[in-house]
Amino acid sequence: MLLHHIGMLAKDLRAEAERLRGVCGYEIVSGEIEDSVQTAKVMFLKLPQTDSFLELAAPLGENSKLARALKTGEKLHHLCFQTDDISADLKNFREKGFLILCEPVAAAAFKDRKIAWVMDSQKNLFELVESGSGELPLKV
Amino acid sequence: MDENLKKLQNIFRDILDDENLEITESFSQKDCEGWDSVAMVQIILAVESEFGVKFTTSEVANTRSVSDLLKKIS
Repeated sequence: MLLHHIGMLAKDLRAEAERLRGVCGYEIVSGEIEDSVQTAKVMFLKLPQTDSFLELAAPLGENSKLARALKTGEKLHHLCFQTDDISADLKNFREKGFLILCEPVAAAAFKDRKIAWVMDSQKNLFELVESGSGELPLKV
Repeated sequence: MDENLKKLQNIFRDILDDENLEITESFSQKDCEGWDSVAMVQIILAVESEFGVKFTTSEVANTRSVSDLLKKIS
């Protein structure tokens, strides 16, 4: 597996992206992408000459799964790993003490490549995204 | 108190950080603000470890109460 991105919560995606561009030198590599299944809108950033992304995520709607986390002040949210075999890696995570929160579903941010979510008893939240064939597409 | 219910109570006390918590079979998520989706993950994993059972994803989604947990482990 490869680290695809680190997920971070933000109330205002554009404002946070601009702030991180100014502070850390991030490049903004996508617009705001809405995913109604995940009840989230996201934006991807990248540091020059690095392979992984920073994903900013904000609640999409009042009933978003992210709204509560954001209210508690949580900022760093999850790690996302790119996998060649999402089913096999999900099975492996399950056997290693993680609970599957979401079976593979199409993700708007990755042009419908599948993602899944797992969490362990220490509240570590991981996302898996399938590599598929060719370069992993990022909706821009 | 039933032995399984007693073990569940210890799990809930630990995860919800309330050493005086008393649970019954009818105790459910709507009775407890702290029993949110993250606590649910911790509770399910603790139950799996304690009782040697495995929940399917749909079983997790349909778990709402202590009664649901007792049905799984009995």
